[in-house]
Amino acid sequence: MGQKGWLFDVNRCIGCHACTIACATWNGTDQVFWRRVVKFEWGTYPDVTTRNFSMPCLHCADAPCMHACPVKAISKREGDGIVLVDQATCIGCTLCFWACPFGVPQIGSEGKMSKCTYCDTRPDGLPRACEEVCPTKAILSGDLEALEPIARQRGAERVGGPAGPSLFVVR
Amino acid sequence: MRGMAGTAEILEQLKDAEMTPGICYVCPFNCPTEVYTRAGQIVYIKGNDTSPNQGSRCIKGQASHYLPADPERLKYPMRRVAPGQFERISWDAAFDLIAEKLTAIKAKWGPESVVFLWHIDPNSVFAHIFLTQCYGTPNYYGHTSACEQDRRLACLAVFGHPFPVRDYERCRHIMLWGINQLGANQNIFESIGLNAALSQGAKLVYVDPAFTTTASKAHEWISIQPGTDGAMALAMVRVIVEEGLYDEPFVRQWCHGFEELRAHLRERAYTPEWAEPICKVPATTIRRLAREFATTRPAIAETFKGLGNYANGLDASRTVYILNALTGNVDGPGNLILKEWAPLNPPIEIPPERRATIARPPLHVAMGYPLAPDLPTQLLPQAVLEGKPYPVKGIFFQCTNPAMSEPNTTRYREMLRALEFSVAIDVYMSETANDCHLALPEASFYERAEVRQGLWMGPQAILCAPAVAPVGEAKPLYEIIRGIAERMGYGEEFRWTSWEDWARRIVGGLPVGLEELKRQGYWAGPLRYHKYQEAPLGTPTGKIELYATSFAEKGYNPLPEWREPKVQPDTEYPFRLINTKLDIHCNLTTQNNPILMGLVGENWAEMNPRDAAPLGIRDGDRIEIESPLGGTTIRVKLREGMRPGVVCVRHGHGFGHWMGKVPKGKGTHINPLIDTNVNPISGGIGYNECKVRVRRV
Amino acid sequence: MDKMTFFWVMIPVAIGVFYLGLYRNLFEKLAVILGASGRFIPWERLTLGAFLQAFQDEVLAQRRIRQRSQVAWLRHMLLFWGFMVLFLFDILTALFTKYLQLLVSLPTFLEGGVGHTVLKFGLNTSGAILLVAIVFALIRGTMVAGTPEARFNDVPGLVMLFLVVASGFVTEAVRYAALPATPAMAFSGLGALLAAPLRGAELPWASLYDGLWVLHALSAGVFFAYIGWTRMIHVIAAPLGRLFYAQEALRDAKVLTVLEGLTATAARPAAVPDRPTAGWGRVRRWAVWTFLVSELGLVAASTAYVGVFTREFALVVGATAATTAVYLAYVLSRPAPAPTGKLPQLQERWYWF
Repeated sequence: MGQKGWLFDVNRCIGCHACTIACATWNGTDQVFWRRVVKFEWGTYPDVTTRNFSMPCLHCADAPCMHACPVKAISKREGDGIVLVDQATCIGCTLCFWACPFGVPQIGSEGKMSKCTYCDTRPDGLPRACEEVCPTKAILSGDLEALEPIARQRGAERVGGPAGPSLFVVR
Repeated sequence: MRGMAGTAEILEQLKDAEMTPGICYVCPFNCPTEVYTRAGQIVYIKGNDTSPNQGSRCIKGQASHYLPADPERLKYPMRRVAPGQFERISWDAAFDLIAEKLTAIKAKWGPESVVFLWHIDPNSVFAHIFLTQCYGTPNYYGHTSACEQDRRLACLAVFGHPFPVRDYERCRHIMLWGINQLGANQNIFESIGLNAALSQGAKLVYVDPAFTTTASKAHEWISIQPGTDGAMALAMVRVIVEEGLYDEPFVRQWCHGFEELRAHLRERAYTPEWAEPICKVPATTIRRLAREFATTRPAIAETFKGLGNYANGLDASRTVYILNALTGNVDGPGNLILKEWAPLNPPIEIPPERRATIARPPLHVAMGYPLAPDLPTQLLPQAVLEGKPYPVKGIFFQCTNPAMSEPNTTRYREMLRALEFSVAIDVYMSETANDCHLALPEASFYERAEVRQGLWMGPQAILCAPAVAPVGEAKPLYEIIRGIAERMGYGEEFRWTSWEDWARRIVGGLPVGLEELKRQGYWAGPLRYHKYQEAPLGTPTGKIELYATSFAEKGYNPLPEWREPKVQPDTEYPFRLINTKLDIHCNLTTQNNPILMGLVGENWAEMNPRDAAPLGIRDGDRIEIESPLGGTTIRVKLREGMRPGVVCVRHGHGFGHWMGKVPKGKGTHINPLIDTNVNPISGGIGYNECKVRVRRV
Repeated sequence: MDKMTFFWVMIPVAIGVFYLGLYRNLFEKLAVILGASGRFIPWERLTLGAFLQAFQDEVLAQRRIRQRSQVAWLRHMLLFWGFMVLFLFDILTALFTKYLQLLVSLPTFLEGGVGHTVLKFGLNTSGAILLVAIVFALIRGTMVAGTPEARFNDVPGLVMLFLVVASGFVTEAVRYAALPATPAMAFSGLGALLAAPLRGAELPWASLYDGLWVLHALSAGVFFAYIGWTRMIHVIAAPLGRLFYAQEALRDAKVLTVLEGLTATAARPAAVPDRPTAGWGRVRRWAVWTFLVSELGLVAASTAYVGVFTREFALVVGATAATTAVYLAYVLSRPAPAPTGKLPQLQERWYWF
């Protein structure tokens, strides 16, 4: 078992939001969506393109949210590197949101930080909730090591940056 | 294939729940589902992993678990005492009242004065049996005229099959005309197939004035002049015929009417040069697309509501299917599949001696639409208010809300108020129910059982078992019909101790038993191709008909011709009002869902910035849209992905004006702006036959 | 050394310790934020309206706690408002008993008499509310809270604050007990109540009073110093963060900027934000300047009590200088904050995401 991550295929995503709702249903979050889908449109008529992006937490190797937390409420789990927040310690100051280059953490209904937990109760090897309902198989989860050959084969790039996000993107 | 064996067991353990196979009923494509419940509450839902949908859902289905938990569900039978005021009554009182009224109407006007309108739910087969075989009215109808009336009749005319399914996965060239396959309300396994085809390098050409999700995945977006697809399709057909690009042996052996078609195309001179000024697509492009389509195999040309929303949609759709027929792309791998049906039986049997005789022809025939695959519902007000072609006195509205979904809303509501007797059977007190004499609470698809045809390419049967108890006193439709049938002397036939009794009867012809179907959630038979080689098709000649003999028999033109849309924008109303579906809504079940409404608060209109600028309209402004019939205000988004000259409303909201706390006052309902314009042969509703003017408020 | 000198020597040191903690647990975190995400934050989207609304909702009414639990909200509101009002009255008392008369001559009723009674009433009432709130919070913190970790998260801070408030009341009680009871004393609520049974006892009131006064001042100083080093830092971090988090346009724009970059390709490029990152250097400068201003302010305030050309003032200045030296040494010795110590350059496209 190693660092867990994602492979996301921008070309396949149809922006249907099924992943958003599946995640919210599985994790019982009602006021915030841990996986958010955004649509972008470029160009001038009639040369127009649209693309969608579905964003969970990227469980970065060197998570800025972890470094920015004043009370050390955020940690990376041993073994799989999932970034988790201790809800009791969290003071809801939102510094983690500002630190995250992707703006992932949100303030939930409890006033504490709320974000994707990589479905941490699901056993290794089982698809994540978002992944299993996606109609176009745009989302793939797994060990970064195991995703790497798939990424190479599909022409995906590892997303860079000092935070070390665990994400391959096909676009 | 995704979907690990044993996934359901693991999820059951993680949620300390039990999994029941179900069927989603939010849209007509009925995905098989897995419903996880604990202590009578739903804790998780997803698609059925082992079905062709591979566990996938769309956003509406995935959020639908809110339905059994919604406190605003219709819970008790309600009888209207004054306009908009209802009192709760018992089921016994409700059944007695219905029986009394049905008997009275039958005595005074005849049983065919009663119409039953249903939507989606095949448990309506119980209603069908009761009404047509016991009560004696032929007028059991659905919502097709608001949905795919043109497509269905076009497919029946060309292939003799009402509902071909698309084998995208093995296809190499796909041409979609006004069908947002990757958008809302589509067969998920088809979308999976389309994506797979695109990954393998298939080419996608997308014809639509709006740049939808499907357009974003297409290699070419043809931003066609709205309502002119028929002209472009005819020009393409002519190119294929004149340049000899059609599959000659196939056409010779399996198609009827090629010579007539060729002569017709020549006589009308339906060339690309003729089509260019009509559809605003260059003739060179039309010619190239025709050649590409004809020379890449396998190929699919498909259409749906985009064409049917105009009064000329039937012939336009027929021409699109003729493209498939001419090039031999029928019922083979990577083609439109003439789906085989699972061998399912009716749930109950009425012995012949107990069956009613039907005296009059069905309404659609009497209205002068003998070929209409379903009732031209826009002509129903005439039957109620004027008694033409014969009086309609009682209507059942099951899971259908025409007060909102039909255009010409004012006339429709007038009709509702003029009915002698009306019953709504639904999950909410809808706008239609509000105008009915009786509103009966129906159990949602989580709360009742069902066995039906699946919509995969081959024979497929899917099963829904009740996952949670019905809300309040809600009853499944089969129990409601039983209650009425018992009061009207058919208790013997409508007899069962549990739903498994009639379900066992339905699946009697399957190679698996009910128990296995209850475990798996679905059964599929083998997918067979080229079935037209084994048995004649459902057309009068038994062949694929380029020349529609059924049309000729009824005095219509058997060959597709070009007609302009009925309504054309002019100087006073310079824009055409079209609509596309908002991904989060489908009929009534999604309206009161706070999760969905939380994501998208209201609907909006879309316009091209170059149309908006001279009117001083900016992105996010509120605008007034006005047609000759009426006006309304809505928020506008400006986007480059919209053909100039078009105002496109994302429809699905505007239901909240008196139904439910969540959607109340949100969004805009545009149907009152649209006048009655139906296709003269199919009776399909022309939702896009609407010209409007726009100004900033 | 008299107690005032002790106070004015201790306070700059306590504030220095507070700043040390603040630097480590807040300023450095701000630098992490600016380094990791600074170029994605479109500051031009800030609106005053959102700040004001957030101030009302999150700071004054603390709506979000109420959403979670009515009981927690009540507890926290009592703590917060008890403390705030107490602090306000502390400042007012200092102003009216010492500072204002340096500038203007005040009517006597403000210095002693009715005005003073009003101040005492305010101090005592808010102090009493705070005391009750702390007791409730301690009960929850030690006995009711869910996990062992949660139980002791807030307890040390609460115990310290309890010591501060309790010692304040006892100090006042001792002072009153040394004097005969007056009607005005009744407005001092708890202080007068505690004094009543003590009055008349044969105790060394003066030295007792001084000792308790020093205890009160010291515990207050320690409490303030402690804030920067523990979970109590939420008193600064949470309002600061929430005020910015309420800027929805800013938040959305931050997220969308990055996501657009993730979906863009060479054929369909997205606009590159051209904002310079405010790095660690600027944050560090802020940390030093605000510290120096605070310390200088305290030194200036001390002059009203210890004079200027006095031995006592020299002690104050000496303590402040020592604190400043320690703080600067600490700040200069701290390495640039994580993630990798290398701040990305605008040209490097890979940082795009």
